[in-house]
Amino acid sequence: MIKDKKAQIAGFLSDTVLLIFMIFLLVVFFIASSVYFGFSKNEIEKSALQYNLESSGHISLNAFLQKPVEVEINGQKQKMTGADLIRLSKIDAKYDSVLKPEIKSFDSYYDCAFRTEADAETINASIREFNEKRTAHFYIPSENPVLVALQISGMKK
Amino acid sequence: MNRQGSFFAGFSAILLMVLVGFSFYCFSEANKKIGGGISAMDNLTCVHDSSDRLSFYLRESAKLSAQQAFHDIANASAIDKNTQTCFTKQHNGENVIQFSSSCMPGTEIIEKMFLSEYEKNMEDFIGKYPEKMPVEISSSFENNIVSSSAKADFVAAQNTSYAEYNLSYGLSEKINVTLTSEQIALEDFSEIYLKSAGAANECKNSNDVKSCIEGKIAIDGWSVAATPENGWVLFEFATKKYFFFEDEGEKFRNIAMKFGI
Repeated sequence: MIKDKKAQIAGFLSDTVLLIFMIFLLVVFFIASSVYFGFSKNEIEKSALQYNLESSGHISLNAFLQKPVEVEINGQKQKMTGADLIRLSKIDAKYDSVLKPEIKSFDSYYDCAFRTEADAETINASIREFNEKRTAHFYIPSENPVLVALQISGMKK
Repeated sequence: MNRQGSFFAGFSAILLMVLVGFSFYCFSEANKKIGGGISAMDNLTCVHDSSDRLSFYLRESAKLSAQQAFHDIANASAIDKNTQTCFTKQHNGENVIQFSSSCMPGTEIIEKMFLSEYEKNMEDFIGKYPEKMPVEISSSFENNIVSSSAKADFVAAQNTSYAEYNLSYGLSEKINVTLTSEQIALEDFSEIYLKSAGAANECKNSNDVKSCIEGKIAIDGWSVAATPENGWVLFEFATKKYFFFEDEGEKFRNIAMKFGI
């Protein structure tokens, strides 16, 4: 009876140690997998935010290019769109001063960088860069098409 | 020494290691498959953005093509040199077309010229599209509206052991440019000829031919300057609205038309 009791206690103790060891292994396994596979909640939220910024950039840039603007040329007011204004500032640099305040309107909503590229030689490298970084970009038809890009890195509160 | 117990413990440890290893392998495979699925969503967004870019470019090109066609017609004095025979007179080293009853702007001819120039300009713009791709386009002109149907296919494919798919997205865009909203009026050319011919005839005996002619011609959206020459009058019309066009470089200014009567 006494021997059986001792054996029972020894069996219970070894089962407990094994159980603790298995729980320890499970915890290690859980931590290792969450680090290795990177499926943490933060990661998913981060990629969702990135997606939102990308689509905001695309929609905002598209809207800006079609936005009606009025420009005074030789004393006459000419109606045009944002895309026309970019084309016009390419033809005549003096209209940069009209374009800049329009571009500034993005700054009130986003931390962003606005870029235009009209040089045919560098345009292909820029397209590759924008496609890799998923930067919102559009092309404005012209004698040499103009590449317009809006990279949003964050929203302003 | 409990030999049976030792074997059992060793077996359990090996089994545990096998199970943990197998679980890691399964999770890793699942992770890569989920990654493949997410890449499909990414690619779909990319394809959609690309089609949006092309669509915007085509709509802008249509607007510019119409403006360029309008400029080209005005620059040719609204005469089709292939089907109409016209005399010219020299003015400052430039040949100026002389309008007459057998050489004058006709609305039907102008509409045909406009569509042909518009199609040519559209093809030029599509050829310059930075993301080189085939675009099928056909255009028609009716009731002062030039319509273009554009078709293009976008494809994204992934072929790995974790993700295998082909995404295809067909863009079918109908683009309408209403000439009146762009302030392009092709019927103005006939009116310009009729009013100019009438004014030249009425003012031929006037003491101040220039002021007489300029006072008699009023056409919406156009300004006129008349210069009496030796036995004929040089008419220079210009639109009040500015347009984008290419003429020895890209320009944004009013479109001019010159002719003599």
